[in-house]
Amino acid sequence: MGCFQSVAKKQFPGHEDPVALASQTAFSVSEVEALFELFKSISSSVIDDGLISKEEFQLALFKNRKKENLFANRIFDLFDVKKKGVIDFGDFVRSLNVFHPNASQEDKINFSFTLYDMDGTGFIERQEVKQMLIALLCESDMKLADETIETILDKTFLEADVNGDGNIDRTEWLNFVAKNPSLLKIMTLPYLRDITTTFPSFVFHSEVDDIAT
Amino acid sequence: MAGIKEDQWFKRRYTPVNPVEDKEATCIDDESLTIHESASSEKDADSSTLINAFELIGMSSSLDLSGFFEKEDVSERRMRFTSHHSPKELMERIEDIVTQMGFVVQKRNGKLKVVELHKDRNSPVNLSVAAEVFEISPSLYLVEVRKSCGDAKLYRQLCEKLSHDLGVPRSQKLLNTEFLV
Repeated sequence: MGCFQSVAKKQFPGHEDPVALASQTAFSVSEVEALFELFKSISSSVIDDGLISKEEFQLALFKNRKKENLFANRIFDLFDVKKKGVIDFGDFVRSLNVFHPNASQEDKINFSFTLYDMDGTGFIERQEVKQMLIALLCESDMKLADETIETILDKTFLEADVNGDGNIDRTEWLNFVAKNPSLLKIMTLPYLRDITTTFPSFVFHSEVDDIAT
Repeated sequence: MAGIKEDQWFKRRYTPVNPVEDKEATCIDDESLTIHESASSEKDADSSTLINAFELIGMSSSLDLSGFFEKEDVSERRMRFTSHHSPKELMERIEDIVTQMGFVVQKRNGKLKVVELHKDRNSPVNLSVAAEVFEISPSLYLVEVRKSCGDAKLYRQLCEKLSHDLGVPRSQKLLNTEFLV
């Protein structure tokens, strides 16, 4: 285990001890190690520096390093926990943790609110939602009349914006999601359950697993 | 050792959802995860069926992190098309079309789940697909067809047929301000 750790720390700035990460997340030690395999492949795809750049992030998600857009940028920003412009292994595991099927609803709700609060004002403004809608329509090559978009926005805000101030605050979001749980679908990645089979790691930690669990 | 490691890892990476494998394919079943789903399907009679903005936004493939785990492009497992048919008509016609193609249909929570099983081969091949209809406007509906596991080619055939038979006709697309490619 000592070998694994020291090698990892040298080549992967920000690499953290799998046992520590496992204790802070819904992942087991083996799962963290499997995530490390995934992290290695993504972080080395453009520049082999042990960190995930925006380009590498895009490449992994869209198979296209140049494909940039509103949502991808936002997700990248959220994964870039330390705000360094790159995602290190600790950031990666902690962010993916929110998407684990066993992660708390509270975490998922908070993450999704921050995601949609594009400018970070603490409110999801109508104009922001409109912007995101238009981005989605653009991406799908779908054109809707402005009137149709406004009608969708009206209905959404009628339901979500309880105090009618034109914004959705965190509490309103919480209540809105409670009534529309399908909105949190994007916050769960079923793949994370099978991560050890998809990305087998070759480090054996049977003793550590016993201690960790 | 490093070479073999690399090899095995690559193999794993390239066959995350291989329908030809004997074992129960890692079928990504959204249904089993959304524990609150059944409660949510009981909508007030009063509440409009119009899609809400976040449901639509959430469909962005950029918000879909499954790209980390899938080698194939997202278009190989998720497709949408618009239609002027009503939800009821859409569901009925989708059911007809898929049944004719040899699929088995399960209906749940207003969604249609499509399963095809090839029992005559050595290893069972599953195609598991879910279809859902959303209202964009009183005359325009969005159909989303998602594959949870199975043969990509079969999935594409199914999508093409559905989109061709039920989607907004091409000629109309050019005239209308509302269309989807």
